Amino acid sequence: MPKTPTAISVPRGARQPHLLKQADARKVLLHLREHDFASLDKLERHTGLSSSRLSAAVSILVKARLVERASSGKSNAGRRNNAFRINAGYGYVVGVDIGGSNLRIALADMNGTVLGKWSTSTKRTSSPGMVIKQIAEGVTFLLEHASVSRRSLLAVAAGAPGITDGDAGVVVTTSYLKGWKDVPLRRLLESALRIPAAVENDVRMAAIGENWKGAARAVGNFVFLAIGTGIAAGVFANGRLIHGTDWTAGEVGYMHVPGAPEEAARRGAPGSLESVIGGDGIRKQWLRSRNGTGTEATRNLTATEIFEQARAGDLVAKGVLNRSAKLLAYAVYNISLVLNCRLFILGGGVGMSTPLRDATQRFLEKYREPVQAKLMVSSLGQDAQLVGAIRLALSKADHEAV
Amino acid sequence: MTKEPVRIGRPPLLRQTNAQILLRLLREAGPCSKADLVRASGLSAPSVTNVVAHLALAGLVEPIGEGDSTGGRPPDILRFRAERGCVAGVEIGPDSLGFLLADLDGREIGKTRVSLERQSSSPPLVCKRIGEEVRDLLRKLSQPEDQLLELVVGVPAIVNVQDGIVMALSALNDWSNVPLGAMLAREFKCNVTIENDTNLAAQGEHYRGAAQGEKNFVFITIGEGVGAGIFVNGSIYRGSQWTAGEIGYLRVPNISREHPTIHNYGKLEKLLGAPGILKSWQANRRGSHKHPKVTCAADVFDLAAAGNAEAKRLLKQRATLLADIVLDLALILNPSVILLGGEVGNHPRLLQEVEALLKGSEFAIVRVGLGALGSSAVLWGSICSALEPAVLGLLRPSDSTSSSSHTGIILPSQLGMPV
Repeated sequence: MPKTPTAISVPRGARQPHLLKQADARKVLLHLREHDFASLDKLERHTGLSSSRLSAAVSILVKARLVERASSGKSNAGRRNNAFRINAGYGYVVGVDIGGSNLRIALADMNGTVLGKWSTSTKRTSSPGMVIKQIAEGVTFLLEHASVSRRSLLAVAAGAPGITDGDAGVVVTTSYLKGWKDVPLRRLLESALRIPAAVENDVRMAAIGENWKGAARAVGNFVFLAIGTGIAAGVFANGRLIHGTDWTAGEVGYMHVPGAPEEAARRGAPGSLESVIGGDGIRKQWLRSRNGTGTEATRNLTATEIFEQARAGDLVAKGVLNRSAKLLAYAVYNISLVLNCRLFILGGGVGMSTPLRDATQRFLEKYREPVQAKLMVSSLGQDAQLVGAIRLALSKADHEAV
Repeated sequence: MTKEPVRIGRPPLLRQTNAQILLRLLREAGPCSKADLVRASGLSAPSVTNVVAHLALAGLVEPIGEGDSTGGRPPDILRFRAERGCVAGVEIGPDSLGFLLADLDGREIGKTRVSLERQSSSPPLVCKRIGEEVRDLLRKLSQPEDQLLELVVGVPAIVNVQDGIVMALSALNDWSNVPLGAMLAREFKCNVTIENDTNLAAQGEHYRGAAQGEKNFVFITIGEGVGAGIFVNGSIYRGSQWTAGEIGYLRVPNISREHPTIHNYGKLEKLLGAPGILKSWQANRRGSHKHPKVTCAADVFDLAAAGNAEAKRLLKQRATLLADIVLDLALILNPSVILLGGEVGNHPRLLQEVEALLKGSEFAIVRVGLGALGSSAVLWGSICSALEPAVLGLLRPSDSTSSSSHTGIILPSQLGMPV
């Protein structure tokens, strides 16, 4: 192998003692984020830190007022019984969910407890400038109503419905918002709110939410599958999100599975899989199978309503549900094979349908090897993105603080 | 226990990290002085002195003389002692065993391949054979047995890497839930690791093949079976039960219904693997007069390249299946490149066809290419994954004291360093 002295890369790592202390403190903080409070004993076990390093880390956090002693109420409060928790009042963060039709904002304390929510429509006014202005308005409103001073606002995180470059903080492209191409969302947020910001794709944001407070709580390997107008996956592998090389990992709406159209999909057009089991695809299946029969009301059913009809015994609806479930089962099975992942959380307008989950799970019973995938409907529902955004904003705030 | 390790007032973890940083610099840049190391690593001069002393004690660095003076005392030039030990890679194939020995710089020092008869392919016999062949190779290279620091074995099977258990292997009989790691540990004094062969092939291509510097890529191997080695964020991704990349079972269009079991090849694998291609070829050629000579799957693709219509049809069919696999992998993982390898996979005609098919779908723009290491990818992957644990093993305090019994240990005082 040719060796070029110029190509030396020094691995980043805890090289200096102060960096090591910082890493320790972050480890402790991360553990406290996942468990409401913890005793020193527990922290020692879970972080793997020696007791001297642990107390150093905890004292850094307590001195910075990020962490406080939690009174356990017990009288025999020796050192070992000392418990610690995040100081909820240390500061506040804002989570933002930018959707194709709604903009939603939540204000939360450092524990992630939501103090207030605000939302508005993005249907008519969705240019980046307008959205930023609306976010600023919403934040002002929330701060006033919760009597929180602007100075104690520490960080903001926003999820956007498109390909989002988290490193650069740019929304590269989205088909759900007009005029959004290479939008430097992080910079816009930072200059509008004057606090550190983070941005992420909305489906991955929902996956973060489910991993923090939802159906995939503390699960290191799972897939959040959002099925609405389109289909996309947010993948957690070994406890971390997969982004891929161009931030497009999880664009599974274009997957080829048996029974879906095989002609190549063009960029911008719905993919093979989503053209059948996305919301519009399901309605098309429904209309086609009804052959123009039925009242206006039955023709205008949404995907979720069609699946409910199937549950109620409608044969045509059953056919649509079966076909959709079968294709979804193939897609889930393929993803589970590639990633060796067991848990799939279904979210999004169509994905939240319980009849669809049940029917798909029945198909998957035939595919037990090498992994039997388990489907669960999102427990956070349409709040998943917002909860994820709060979690990401907390990470940002923690990172700035320690 | 004649010498105490140098006392360094730093947490051991920190020292180990620093040791790895300096070793990497010495390995990549070649011999240099302590001052060079201070500049390149960003560590303080006392830290470098301490860590270098620790490395010298472990026999991993030595001074090789004085460099050019820049005014003061000429600096000692330090060198990484790649000959301090060696590592071995072993590849268990369906009909052969491959062996590769390398020094701590990853330079090949010996290799061999022996054929494996079906009757001697039971786990105990294979273990015995591996022990014999590795010892034989060491003897031929005049390396004492305790020079071998690490052994990594690639198996065409789902492997529980943590416990060294081969969970299921379709190409060989009697290979189900075999504690290969424990069995081989009885043959060797060094640490033994068992890994899936495709994962190792991906590791090999990342180490010195077509995927150097890639953080997210996939290596698809198509030979007897089909599998994928997946790199995510710079390292192998194995999944929660060690089966990530088992793409032989994928449900893509043009595959008939069949429910897979873990102990058999998936349907896709049966079609796309070398035996499947040969079988289709023979079935289609039955009764035909002109019978071009075909002994392996690659021959069929060669015939396609030469214009044989039947072979072309077969190639197109297989390329369509492969293109769908590539598409699925690209969509789920968004890798920077997908590499093809294995007896069938590394055929340039197959790559050409797949590239042509993928051009149609604008969305999944992914670079597809051939692996660069051919049949030695698995062995190089083994060597690569053996190197770091081998060096770390030498840096562990208990090992560094015992290593002072080896010859050639340089004491810190000899390096002219403050102890």
